[in-house]
Amino acid sequence: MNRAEIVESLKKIVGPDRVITEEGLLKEASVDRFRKYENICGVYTQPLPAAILYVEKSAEVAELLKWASSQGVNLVPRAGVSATEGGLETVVPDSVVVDCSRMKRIISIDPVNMQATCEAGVSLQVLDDKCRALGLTTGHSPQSKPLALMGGLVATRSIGQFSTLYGGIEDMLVGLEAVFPNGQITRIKNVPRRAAGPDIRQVVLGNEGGLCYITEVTVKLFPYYPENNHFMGYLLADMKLGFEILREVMVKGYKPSIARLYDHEDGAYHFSHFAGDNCVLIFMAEGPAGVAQATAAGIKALVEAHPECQAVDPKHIERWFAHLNWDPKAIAEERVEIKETQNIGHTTEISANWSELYPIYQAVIKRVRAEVPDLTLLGGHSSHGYINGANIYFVYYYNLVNIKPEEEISKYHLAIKKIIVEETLARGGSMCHHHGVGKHRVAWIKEEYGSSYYILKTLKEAFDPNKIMNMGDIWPIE
Amino acid sequence: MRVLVCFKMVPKLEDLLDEDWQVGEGLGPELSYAKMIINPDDQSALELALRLREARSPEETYLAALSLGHSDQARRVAQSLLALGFNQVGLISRDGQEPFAPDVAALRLWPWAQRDFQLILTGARSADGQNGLTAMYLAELLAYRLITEVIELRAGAGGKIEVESLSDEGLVSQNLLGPSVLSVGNAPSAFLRVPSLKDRLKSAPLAPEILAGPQLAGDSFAELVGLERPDRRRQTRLVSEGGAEEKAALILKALNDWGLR
Repeated sequence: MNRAEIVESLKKIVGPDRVITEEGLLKEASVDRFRKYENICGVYTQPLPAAILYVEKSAEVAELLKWASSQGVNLVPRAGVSATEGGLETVVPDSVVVDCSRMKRIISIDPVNMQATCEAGVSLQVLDDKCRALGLTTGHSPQSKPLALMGGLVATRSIGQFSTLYGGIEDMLVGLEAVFPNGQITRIKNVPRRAAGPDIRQVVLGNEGGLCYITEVTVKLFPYYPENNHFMGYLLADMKLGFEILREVMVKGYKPSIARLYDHEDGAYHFSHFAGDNCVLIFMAEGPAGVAQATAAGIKALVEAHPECQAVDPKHIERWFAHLNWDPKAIAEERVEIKETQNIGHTTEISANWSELYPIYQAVIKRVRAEVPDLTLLGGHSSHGYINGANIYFVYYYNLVNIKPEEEISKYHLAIKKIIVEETLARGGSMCHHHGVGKHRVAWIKEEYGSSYYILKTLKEAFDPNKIMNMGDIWPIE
Repeated sequence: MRVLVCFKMVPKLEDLLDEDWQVGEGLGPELSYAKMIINPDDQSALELALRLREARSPEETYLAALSLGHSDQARRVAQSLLALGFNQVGLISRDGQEPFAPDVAALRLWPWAQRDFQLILTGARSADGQNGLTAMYLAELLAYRLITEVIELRAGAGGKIEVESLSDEGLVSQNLLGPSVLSVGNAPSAFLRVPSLKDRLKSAPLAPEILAGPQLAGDSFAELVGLERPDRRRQTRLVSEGGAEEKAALILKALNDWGLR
């Protein structure tokens, strides 16, 4: 099928108004924030999609997927466009970008059963604001909250900044509706728990549009007590001790909503007004007054038992907390700054068990410094803790020296990502903590999974036999 | 040619909370918890100086930067400027916090600015001093020519420096003919470049100079006799409920209630 035929077919499915073929928009739709420099420079290296399609109903999604399966047309599901790992790149020529942002109906906010149901295109910010007005919260707060849509958050296995208390989206998701490539509309019902076989929600969670198209989600709700928040901050000299303290907090059973450790480089970037050349530990305790108070007191005693830690005025942490997220304005400002300074930043996040975190951190910093030119900042922080380990969020900025826009990724970003992934996998960690695989960590997916790749591969073969769902993402094109 | 750029650290106002804007006993918002950044107009001035040197041969252009105050954050910025290739960075020490006063700032900068600099650049405005007067006072003290609203510097033929500035009549381009103070404002280049880790490492042995502040008693252009805060309270109501129609009705009602319609 050629591009014109694809577009004509799409118009028959959803009507002409919801099929977009304007070249500028197709260019924008061929990339995500992974290729932000190319995008800023107006250089587009990926095959342009044939169209962007706005879906509004599950039934038309079913018809679309069935048609795409029969014609072998690649679909790239799209939600809030906050992806950073190339998940939205249209690597297959004449793909169709399937956008859910018009599916924005909040179906119910149920304060008795403490769950909210909404269509896939509902903004997390909008949903959470409505919940907060009722004294409730989703508990989910990724940095992309002002942009992210509910379907995309589930599809990418998102995690928020308060995960240590509320968990990731996998802990919040109750049930959902998703459409599979054969046109089957499936609903997973909303119950507190069940032991009726495998948890099939996990097939959908994190599939990155590679198995199915999410049309509706139901998430848990929690009471919202912002008035009880306790903020704590500490300065310390080194990351090794920082990881030990984070571990102690988690292992002793405390549940702060935020437990973070910044190294001195990343700390200086965010906290130059109080951190000096130190690493920074940050905690926030929330919940019912007594619980929040006890959590804060326990963590305070635990950290202050380490004389190397110097307490920071909590008001600094409170102000940092109020400006955590990035929104369209911040992204627009970032574009101008990158263009003018020719300096750009990216991140790569991994997870590992406690015993491996510091060795990974050390190895990555050492290798990146030695192997990659033109760095202006190389650091990281740990922002999500568990009983058995945590994540590290590596942050790196570099000056763009003597390159064409399309060379930025290979010279810098992928070169750094490669080192981070290699050092993590070598120590048994996971190469993706919460940004997803996208199209640029696929090269290591078999190493990531080892013998369990059999399960992953079989899922793709079973649900997407005609290979029409976001090809090149998670599963390599072979 | 010797070029001096005067820069200032200012609070990043976007980082404040609503409660920080509630003016209490002090003269302004609560700034104790705000991150300090290089004043945006000063960033432009610093970047223009670096570009000017690139356009001329580096050996012909000596770059110095000077700021008031030597906080940790100012020192960090000064170290970055050294990494970017500024030949000399000075931080003039001062005791405690003093409210911004352009005449006092000019008097403090003046002794250092006199050291044979042919070109002095400053930012026109800052978050805590929106008056553009520092450059004027400094030019007056030095008896230098002043050009305001400078947006671009270029290396012209025969070693001349071409200055582009905004005026009420439009864009003015002129060649500098003698020592000048340039007040940089609204320049299209608003960001200062970033030094690489290697440059930072290389410049680590260098350190900004901490300069003694001059005694100013009796030297100010004016004597402060009092401060009074004008009453600029505004009536505000946040309209978040309802759809567009409901919001419009609430706005109309508020305008009626306040006698504005």
